[in-house]
Amino acid sequence: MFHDLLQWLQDVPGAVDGDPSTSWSQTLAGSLHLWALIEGTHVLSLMLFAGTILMVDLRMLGVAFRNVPYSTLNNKILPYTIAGFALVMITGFVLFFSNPVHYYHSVWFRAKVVFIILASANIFWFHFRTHKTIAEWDERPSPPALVKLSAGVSLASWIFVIIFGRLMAFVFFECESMPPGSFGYVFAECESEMRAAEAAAEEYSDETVEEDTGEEVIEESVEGEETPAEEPAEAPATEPQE
Amino acid sequence: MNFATLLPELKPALDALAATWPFPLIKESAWVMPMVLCLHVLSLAVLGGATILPGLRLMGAGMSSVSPATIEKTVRPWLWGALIVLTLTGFIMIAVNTMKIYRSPAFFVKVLALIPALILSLGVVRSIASRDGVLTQNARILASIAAAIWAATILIFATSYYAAPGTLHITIAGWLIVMAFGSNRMRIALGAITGVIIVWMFVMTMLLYTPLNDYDLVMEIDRYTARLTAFIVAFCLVYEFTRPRHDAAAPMGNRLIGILTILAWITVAAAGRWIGLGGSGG
Repeated sequence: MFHDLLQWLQDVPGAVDGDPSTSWSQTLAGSLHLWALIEGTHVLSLMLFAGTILMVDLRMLGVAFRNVPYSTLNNKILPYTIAGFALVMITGFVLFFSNPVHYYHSVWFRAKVVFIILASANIFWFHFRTHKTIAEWDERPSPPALVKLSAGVSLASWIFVIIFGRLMAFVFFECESMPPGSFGYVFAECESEMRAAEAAAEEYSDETVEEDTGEEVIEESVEGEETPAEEPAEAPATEPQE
Repeated sequence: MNFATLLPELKPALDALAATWPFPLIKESAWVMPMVLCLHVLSLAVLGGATILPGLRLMGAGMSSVSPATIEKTVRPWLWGALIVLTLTGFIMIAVNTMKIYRSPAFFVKVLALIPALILSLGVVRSIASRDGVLTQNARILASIAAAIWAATILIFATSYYAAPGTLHITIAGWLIVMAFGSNRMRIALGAITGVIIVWMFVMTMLLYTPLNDYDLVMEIDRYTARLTAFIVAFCLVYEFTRPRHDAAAPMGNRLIGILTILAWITVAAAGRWIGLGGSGG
């Protein structure tokens, strides 16, 4: 749906003389340290965001801080969770901007977004429904089932968000490797990605034929069709990263 | 500095470890390592919660109405659980990438940073918490030792060619602590200095010089600006949290230990992240 818009975002803004490799997006992706610093900050911010939300959820589940009123955690810890969330989101948006087309067609990225939406819906549900009854269970070591359910959904959602976020670094289920029509292929809107890749390969083929109409050049351009349109954002599966 | 140069005699043992079952199988498997890495990151998040909450409490922030003993006791099983999973998953990551880890300056920094972080969380913070906020002489000495090791670690981190940019994470964390807990005057001052530094960097490394034309010069500007910024943030932190404050919610020693504990764990995590991000040279 947004493939063309994101391709434009990746190639045009900031580009010098129409050269996509000089756009802001690609300059950030190819930067020596800036991308790594933002990515590192994104991961480290999880310690603040997910670490504090875990403690709040555990209190709601009646597992930790059982003798501390829930409102204490809500008032004193949740502001840090929100600050951590802001950091994670800001760095996340910048990382997405560095390679938007690749992330847009990533199965893991889409799964991550689904769970972020689920977690957000759960927050709204909790805030507008369950939170209103806080006076009834604030000091109870074991809150009511609905509160526990909300905490469980929150915990599970954020765990999946982190797992899918980490898996985005690996080249599983790329559009090039999934059979057309499969769930992953449709889920990641691979049709538009592959169409764009074929168009780019044809354009490249035409250019090389115009420059030099030798046999070898034509063979090279045919191979180019099999080349992934985008490089993976990070290292291959065996890269040790934390 | 890395383990390959400091302990070359370790190499045969690491080669043997890499060849030991099941590590060759894990290395070849497409799914096991990603799952191990996922577990590692999830445990890092748990570790964050289990260290930040007691750290904040010692600073007089966060759940200040709850006793330090209650907070420390509640997070302790989660801290231990996270440490055990991090150690197990970390060991697998070492075993399937022995040479990369062995030569990695960031890994060396990470191991070094673990010493003050563990001393602080398992020794000092626990001691203060169990006495409901009282800092004993022994805990003070232990905290001083941890602070000295942490300072040496930062020095090694900052002078490591491949991993040095990772120290900016610690500067950013310190900056956020000043901005969150400092006085208004300090926030304004640090905010203004930060603005000047950003403008300076933009002019020097994007307008006057560029990495394409003056790579070495731009790298030097980056390096010295990062170091200057770190010193400014360190000064602000020490000034802000050692000066007498009538509104201080915790004693000075506890405030400093709380901050140091959080920064020590951020150093461990930042160095860990830069094992992957900063290459394995050096």
